Amino acid sequence: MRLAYWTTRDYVFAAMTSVALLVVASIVIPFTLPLSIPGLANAVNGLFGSFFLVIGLIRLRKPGSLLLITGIYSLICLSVSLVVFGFVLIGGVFSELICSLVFRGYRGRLAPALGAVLYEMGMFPAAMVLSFFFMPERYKDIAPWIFVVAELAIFTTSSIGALAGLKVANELSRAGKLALES
Amino acid sequence: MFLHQDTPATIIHRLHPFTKMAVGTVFSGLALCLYRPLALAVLLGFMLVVLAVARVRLSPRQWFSIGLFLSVISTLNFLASHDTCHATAYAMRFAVFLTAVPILALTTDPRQMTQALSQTPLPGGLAMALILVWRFFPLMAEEARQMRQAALLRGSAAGGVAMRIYRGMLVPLAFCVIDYTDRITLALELRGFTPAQRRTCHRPLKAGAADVVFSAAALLAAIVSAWVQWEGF
Repeated sequence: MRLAYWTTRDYVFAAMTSVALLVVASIVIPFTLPLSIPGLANAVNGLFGSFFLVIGLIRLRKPGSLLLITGIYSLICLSVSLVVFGFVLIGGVFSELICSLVFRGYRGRLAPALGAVLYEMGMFPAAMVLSFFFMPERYKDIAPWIFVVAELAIFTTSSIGALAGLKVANELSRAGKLALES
Repeated sequence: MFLHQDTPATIIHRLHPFTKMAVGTVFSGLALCLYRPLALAVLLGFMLVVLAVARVRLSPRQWFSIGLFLSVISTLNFLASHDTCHATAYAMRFAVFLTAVPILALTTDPRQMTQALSQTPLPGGLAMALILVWRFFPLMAEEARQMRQAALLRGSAAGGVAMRIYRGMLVPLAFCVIDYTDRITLALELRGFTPAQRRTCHRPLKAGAADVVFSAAALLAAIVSAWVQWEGF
């Protein structure tokens, strides 16, 4: 029998990580979107999103893991909006490309953390471009420096989330729930 | 572990899953483009009729929670935009999002969804992962709500709100993800599931007359809402 690249456990773990991403997004995003501040939703969601992504990537490790998680997540987001599907997938492809080229997978601690942060940072420009394409009148008057500030805020929050994810991965490892590399 | 549904199988339950997904996607997408409250009310009205036909009954507490949530959303939006119409439309758009996809998810049996996805060219593992997200999202959302309530009952920890979110919600949710993974993987492997093999289906799902009628009714609601938005009063 031919062996699949991903095992059943990998698919289930990626699916459950996507569920966790969806749960935290459904809690935090409704409270940030009405304030109409560019990047606020991404910055707040980045804190929680990168936390779960780091744990997911530490567990999966193989090249393509980030694309698997974000691919499942984006397909679910497709039922909400084509724009959301687009920027989630673009963020996933962007960070996966960089991490696969530089680290060839997600072994160690740096690659998962960097992958999660790059994913969160990559989503914002993609979201802006797609939103501008669909709703140009809403985004045409935004000053460029706002995007830089927003990206810095996303970098800060997602880095904090990634570090918290690494800390919890250690706790999960001590509890015997997650196998970490020495 | 799976959600148990006491609701009887109605015509909405018997529809092809892709028909319901398509309607949910179109309604959610259209809701993004609409900004008149009346146009959004047409879409919301259609979804409420679907809710009634599917015999999905919410408790007064659930209705109150939804009402409170939408009130907070519209108040925040009003504070940001100082526009009542915009704030109302925003809350109604959220109401369409809250009803369109979850109602259709609640009325779709996992076996039906599995059969439908096994007919697509998606890899078997990916199709299974999508079914898991579809079914376990309401379950994990409920667990997250209980975790938040438990953290609130315990009171502020030494680090304040940040530590309460971290210790009270994020860490338990991470353990929850691992726990579900272990149990679901075991259940799938015991039933002989392997991502390397394609699933077969004894009785493939087919769209019927009810799907055509439902799609036509949804299309009519979408056209009416678009007319109210761009041509109407």
